[in-house]
Amino acid sequence: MKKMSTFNLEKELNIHFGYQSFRLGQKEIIEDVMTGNDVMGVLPTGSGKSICYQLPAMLLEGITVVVSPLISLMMDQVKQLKAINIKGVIAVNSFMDIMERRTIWNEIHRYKLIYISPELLQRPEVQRKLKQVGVRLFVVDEAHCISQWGHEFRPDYLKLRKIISNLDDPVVLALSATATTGVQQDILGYLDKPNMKKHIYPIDKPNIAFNVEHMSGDKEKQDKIVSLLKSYYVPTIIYFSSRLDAENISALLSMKTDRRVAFYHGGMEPQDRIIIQQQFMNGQLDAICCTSAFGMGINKKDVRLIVHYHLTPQLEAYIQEVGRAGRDNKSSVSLLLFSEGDVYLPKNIMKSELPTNNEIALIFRQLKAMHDEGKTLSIKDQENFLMFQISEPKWRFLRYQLEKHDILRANNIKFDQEIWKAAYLAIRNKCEERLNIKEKQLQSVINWIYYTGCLRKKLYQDFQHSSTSAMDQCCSNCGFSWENWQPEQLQQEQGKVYSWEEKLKKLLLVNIE
Amino acid sequence: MLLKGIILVCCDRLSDERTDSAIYHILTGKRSVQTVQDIHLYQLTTYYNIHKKLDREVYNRILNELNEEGFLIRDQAYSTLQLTTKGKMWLHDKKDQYPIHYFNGLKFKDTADMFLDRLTLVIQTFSNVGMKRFSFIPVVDNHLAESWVKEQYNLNKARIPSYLRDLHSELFHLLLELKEKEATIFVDRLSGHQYYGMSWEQLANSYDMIMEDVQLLLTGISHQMCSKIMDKEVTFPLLYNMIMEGSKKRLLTDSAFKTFQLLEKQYSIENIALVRNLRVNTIQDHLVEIALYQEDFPIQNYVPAATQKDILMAIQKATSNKLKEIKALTEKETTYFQIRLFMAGYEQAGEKNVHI
Repeated sequence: MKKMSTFNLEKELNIHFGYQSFRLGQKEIIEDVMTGNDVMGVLPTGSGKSICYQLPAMLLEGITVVVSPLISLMMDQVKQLKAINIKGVIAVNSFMDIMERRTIWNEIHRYKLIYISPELLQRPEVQRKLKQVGVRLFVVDEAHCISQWGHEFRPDYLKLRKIISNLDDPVVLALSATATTGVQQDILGYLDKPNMKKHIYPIDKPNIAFNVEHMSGDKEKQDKIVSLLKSYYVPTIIYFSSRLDAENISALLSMKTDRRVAFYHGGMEPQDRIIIQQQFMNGQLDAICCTSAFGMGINKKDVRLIVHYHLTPQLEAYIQEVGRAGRDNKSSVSLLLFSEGDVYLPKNIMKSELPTNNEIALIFRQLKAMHDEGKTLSIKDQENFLMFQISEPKWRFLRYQLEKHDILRANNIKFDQEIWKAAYLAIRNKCEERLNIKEKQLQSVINWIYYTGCLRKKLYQDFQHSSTSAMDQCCSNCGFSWENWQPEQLQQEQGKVYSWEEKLKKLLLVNIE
Repeated sequence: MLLKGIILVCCDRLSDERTDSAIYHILTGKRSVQTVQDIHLYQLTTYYNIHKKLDREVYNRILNELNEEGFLIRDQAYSTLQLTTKGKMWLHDKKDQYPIHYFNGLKFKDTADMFLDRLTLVIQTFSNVGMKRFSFIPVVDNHLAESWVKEQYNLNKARIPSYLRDLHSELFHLLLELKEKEATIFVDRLSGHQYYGMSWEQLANSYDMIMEDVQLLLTGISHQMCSKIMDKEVTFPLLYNMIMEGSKKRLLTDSAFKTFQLLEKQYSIENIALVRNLRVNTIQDHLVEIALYQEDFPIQNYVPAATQKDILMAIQKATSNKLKEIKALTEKETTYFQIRLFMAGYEQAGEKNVHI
């Protein structure tokens, strides 16, 4: 291996990624990683966290494994890397068919950077393959998923510690954009790396103004958004917790304003998702009505306005979504619209993510029956939750619990009456405990909404000791006024209608004429 | 009205011998022996697998609408559909206004998807590269199409402008043969240099159609294009190249193809099941699938001559094509597998209808 000192990191950054210089925190983290230190990095969204492992991956011999919780996020990353001509990158996920995965594993030595889901990483054969080629750097992306106090707890993350040691203890880099001090402690603890070097950077955004407006109901919210879109012709994201609302309000806005609006959510076809996302990036759309599925890995610099039509379930999610505004550091605004009845929607969503007592009982009975017939579970998790007729998050939660209580070993069912009895009760309690935690997290969002002091300070207080004061206006409690927000407006496009003949010419012959 | 029209056509052909699921399975291209036999028996091969992603609920809603609008009578209790006079009138008077005849599902189900993916990606790639822009996000997420486009790029990188000019002229001629609105929708879907085409939803809104009809129309157009391109490959060399490497591909499912390869090596059904770690039933399903496509499938290896006679007589006696009825009329030793295999072979032999 080349010694760290032989690399001119700035030069390598330019060669591989075309950037002239590092952004805040990147170089410090990379230097530590390259000298073999385990690192925990907390960097604000949009600060180029991924460079912290992408550059080392290009420079280190052996491979870099990145554990990432969301398939769409991994694929976005790979697409963006391929778009700048970086080779040897792959996202392995359970949607690939067996043959495709087999080809990848057989040629694994050709890759430098492998994105993988925590579920897939559990498989012994996967670990064996990775061990064979030698993992030099192990990256835990969105590391807050390891803590149940983080905003998206993923039980599979708890098993990473063992996997890391199975892979002969490569250098570990844990990254997050939203880790409170408590969550940071959990990350060190669960990864069993108490000596990780911490690189914690402030995540607050001085160029974003925070507004909460209390509304009487949906009608008033909609009127508000319509009037905002009419007066501000700026790139806008409007977040919803429900797909249907995102679709409906998108239609309403298209009708009532002359803005180009579309919706985006996880239920759309892959090609349409790419199209809508890229239209927004490319300035063919002015506003997007979306769920939290939108925005991960999107790097549009000039988003000016972010509206929340519904509550987010935690402040972390709010900080993350709001952080997509003003990446060019120009004055931007976030607005949360709140009406009394809004608390029920997130509460219902929370409940739908955990199995009910009935469902737990039913699954225990089904497992018993399967055990008695000598059956095993499918290796494909999709087949399992379809068979039990419960949602994917519910099954993921249950599967982890069942494994923890030694009722499931891989896909084999083990029966022991005493253990099962105790586990049944323990799992019911665990559900209640999770629900309590989620309710507390939601409560902190509600407390923030009703807070009468400075919303900016309050929002960041759990994440950092102090926050920078606002660059422009601060928040609705510190006297924000819309009249004083005068962002640069986009140019209104001329709505000329072209015939298909002209369009086809423009598509194919533009470079000839 | 495109989806509705196609449902009415299917309904007309199937009469009341099949439940409403049969049409759904045909449109979504279910790979069951029943469905594959249905499309052959009732001459619905052109609509097979033309809307893979059709949602069951949407399908249900459409049936209810057709029922309310008086085109058909939906018997909820028996899940059967019956065309009304109004429905028959529509087929007679209005059907031809819609591009229902564009489809050729069984023939183009794989080819057309591949063609569209390659065409879309090649246009996006070459128009970007033509403008010296080498970094863009492809709208098509398909490894195979991607590697094909890469290959084309390497072959043609010295002549991108002339490739684009030729592609434009080939595409232009195909589009001219469509209706104005159809051509516009097709072009609006395409992406190019610093420009992304429309999503299904956006097309539906712009042209006041339902999403299902937009998807179907694009599929129909691609079938129509494939058929024209294959007829006149000399006129459309670039487009023909996009289809060529796929059309000769086997029509079997991947799994059945693996079984086929083992059969070629003289493996028995039981041994194939053993080797592939599948159930014997599954392998038998594969054989039926293979028999439907392979002209010279050796049916006699699995169904002795006497049994074949027995089944043939049962089919002649039976009042419907229902397997259960036919099975009841055969000798006790004759199995479902043998009946299905025989019927598949019969179909392959060119008899469009097993009623003789």
